[in-house]
Amino acid sequence: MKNQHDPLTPEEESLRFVSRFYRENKNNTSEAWKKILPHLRRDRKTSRRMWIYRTVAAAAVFAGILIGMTYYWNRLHTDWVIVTADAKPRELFLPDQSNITLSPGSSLRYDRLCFGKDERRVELSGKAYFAVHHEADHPFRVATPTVTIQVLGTQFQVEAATDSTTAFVASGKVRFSTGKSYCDLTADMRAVGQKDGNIRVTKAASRNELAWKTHRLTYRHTPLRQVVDELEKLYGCSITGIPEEELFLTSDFNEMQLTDIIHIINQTLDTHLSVEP
Amino acid sequence: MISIAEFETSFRCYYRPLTMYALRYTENIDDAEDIVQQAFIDTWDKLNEGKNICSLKAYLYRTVRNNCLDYRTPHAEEACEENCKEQEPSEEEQIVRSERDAQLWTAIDRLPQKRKQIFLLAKRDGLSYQEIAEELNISIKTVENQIAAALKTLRNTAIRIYLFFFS
Repeated sequence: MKNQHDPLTPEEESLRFVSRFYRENKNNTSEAWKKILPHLRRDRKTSRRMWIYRTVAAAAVFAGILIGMTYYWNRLHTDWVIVTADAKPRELFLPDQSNITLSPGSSLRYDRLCFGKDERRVELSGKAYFAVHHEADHPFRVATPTVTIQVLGTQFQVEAATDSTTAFVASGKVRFSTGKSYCDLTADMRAVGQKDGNIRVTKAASRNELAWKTHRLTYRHTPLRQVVDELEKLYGCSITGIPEEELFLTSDFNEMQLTDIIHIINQTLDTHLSVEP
Repeated sequence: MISIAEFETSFRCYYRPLTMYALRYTENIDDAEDIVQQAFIDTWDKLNEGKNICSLKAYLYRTVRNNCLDYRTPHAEEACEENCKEQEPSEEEQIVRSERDAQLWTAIDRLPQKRKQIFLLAKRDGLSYQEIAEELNISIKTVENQIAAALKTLRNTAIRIYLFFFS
């Protein structure tokens, strides 16, 4: 028999306590959850951690914009180097050590900021002779109003006029393109690119076209009339005393004055050519 | 940051023990539920503000206790007398007790309807077996049997818990 005055075991105590205050349909967990759920608001206050995340995100976006703007600004910003030859041929070196000789009255420009980054690009108006270093990763391009010439280590001449451009390759290989077509040229090939996109190629063209730069004239059984035309064009003069008969000249002239050239021709072919300024 | 789903899991786990814990102070299940629900809401707000809480359970018990003490201030004098008589068990023991109480509440929930009714009339409402028999139009023997059966179930629940914790 249990003694009424014995202390209650914890289990007994709990049983009595709970029985005493038990009420039906109370203390329902699911209903309580439904009741508090509307009060669990997410956006009460922005916690400090959220604030840090937001600040970092904003800073990242801002940095991204700054970087984008810098790239864009670099693109737009240019630093043109312009070189012009006046009365005499003018020689210049590009940052990649390529050597260019500008014919009198010609000019060339390139952007110092981008030259050599992806490509080596120059814009030409007039006539110039190029001796370009080979750089496989950075194609060398000469841009004229009608034509783009792409080059890997070559020597060539470009003459850019308003409606057409002529290129003459001394050595190496050159890709000559208009918007419409392109053509690869090798040594002693000459091409003319027109505004309408057409290209006309001559093989085994005469190197005398380069004489203004090379100071070298080569004639192999060349008709005298052609010789005279070339000399007149090269020296900007007029030559008289051309005989009726067809005469042919075979000769080399290196670094010579016009008067000396005329003298030698007269001697060789027994003619009486003379120069009129 | 805790998700609502995680919070609900904790809610379902601790709600009843916490109401039993609060019930010790309030002696009224409605007030106990209000206090515990408010404690959960306050805790959720704290979590959202980025507060780092190591033990959610311990935090909840402390919050409920603080809220109960605030609740009891008007009745401080009566309460103190009651509490000071029986030595208040340690916090750990209180938590264990609250879990046991919760289990018992659930066990009473699950008693068959008639048995539950008879049990409550006797142990909660203080009716005599005679009065219950007359009220429900049944024999006193039935009342005795029903109450015995109820107690047997409930005591088993309590003992099972006892063995689980202390064996």
